[in-house]
Amino acid sequence: MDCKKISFLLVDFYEDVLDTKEKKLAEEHLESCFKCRLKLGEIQKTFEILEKEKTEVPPDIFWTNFLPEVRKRIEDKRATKKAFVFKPELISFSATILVILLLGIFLFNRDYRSRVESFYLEDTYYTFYSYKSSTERLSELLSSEKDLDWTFILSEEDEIETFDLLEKVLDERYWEESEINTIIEDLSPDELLILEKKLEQLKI
Amino acid sequence: MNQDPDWALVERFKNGDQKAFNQLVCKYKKAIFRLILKMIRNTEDAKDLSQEVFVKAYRNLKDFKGESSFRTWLIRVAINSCINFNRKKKLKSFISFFEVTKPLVTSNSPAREMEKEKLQKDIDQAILRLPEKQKEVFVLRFYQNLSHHQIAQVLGKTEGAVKSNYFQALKKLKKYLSDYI
Repeated sequence: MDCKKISFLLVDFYEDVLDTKEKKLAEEHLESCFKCRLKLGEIQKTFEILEKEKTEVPPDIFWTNFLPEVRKRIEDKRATKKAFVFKPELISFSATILVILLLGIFLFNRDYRSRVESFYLEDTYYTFYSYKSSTERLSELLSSEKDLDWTFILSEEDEIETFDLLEKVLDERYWEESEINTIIEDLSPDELLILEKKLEQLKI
Repeated sequence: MNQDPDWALVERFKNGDQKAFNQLVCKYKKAIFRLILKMIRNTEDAKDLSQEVFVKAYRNLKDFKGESSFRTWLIRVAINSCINFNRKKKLKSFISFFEVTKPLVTSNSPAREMEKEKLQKDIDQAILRLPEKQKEVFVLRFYQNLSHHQIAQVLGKTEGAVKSNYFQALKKLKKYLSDYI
């Protein structure tokens, strides 16, 4: 057996865990090899140093409290786990709430979009949003300082009624506030002829 | 029939007998504490971690099918806990590297006590410097007196690999502790 093979067996030789055959071969080699005997001596010394290490033993109170402490930790972890335990009924409940919320958002958006109405009137773009009653909207409209740039809200149930009222108000304001030239200019040639005829009949 | 002397207790625990688990704790608490102490080299941390190992064992014992002995399985749980602990400690020491360190308090112990303390410190450092795999093998063999075969079972390695790790560990320790040899 050569030195390389022996060096790998030296630890086992020192610990006396080699089988009989290996042990005999190692002993024979060590008798004749100073280098390997030196290596064995170093291994022995290393073990002796490591065995000098003091082993700190915890006080008796630690061992007495060991089991109760382990039990306490188990209970604490169980309590924490219970707080976050998986419950299928909770999942179905959460899913229902989520579906209701999503449905609500969807319906609200659809309703909101349906309430926004836009149209052109007098070359101006009007948009109506719904959130106030028609009376409020009309009072807003009537009190508005701006003639053509106001915004107000329609609610679905009185939408048609409000539009009728709106047209009426706009009509009244048109006749009250517009200059006669503007009114005449706005008339079509046919309307202008009718107007002329009516004026002649009145004999003003 | 299972040859493990602890198997009866394990089965009783699996059937809801809490006292059986208490018996297992009492039987192995000292061995597990010693193993952890030799692995992590800090008494306070070893106290905490040894209790934590039994908490882990309690939670996972229901999945233990008896492929190995309960002792082997428990040692594996302890070794894994030490590996996780060392990983966290390395991260912490990396963070504390940037923090201001407090000066060490020197004791007025006699020269011999100081010598012993120095040796202890050097052995701690030498063991901690070992690569993780070599350290596991060395601690299980030297401090726990497990055979190469048992260590191979605990760590899921071949006996040849265990022997090689043990040999390498000892070679390194000889080098690290050369001042005393």
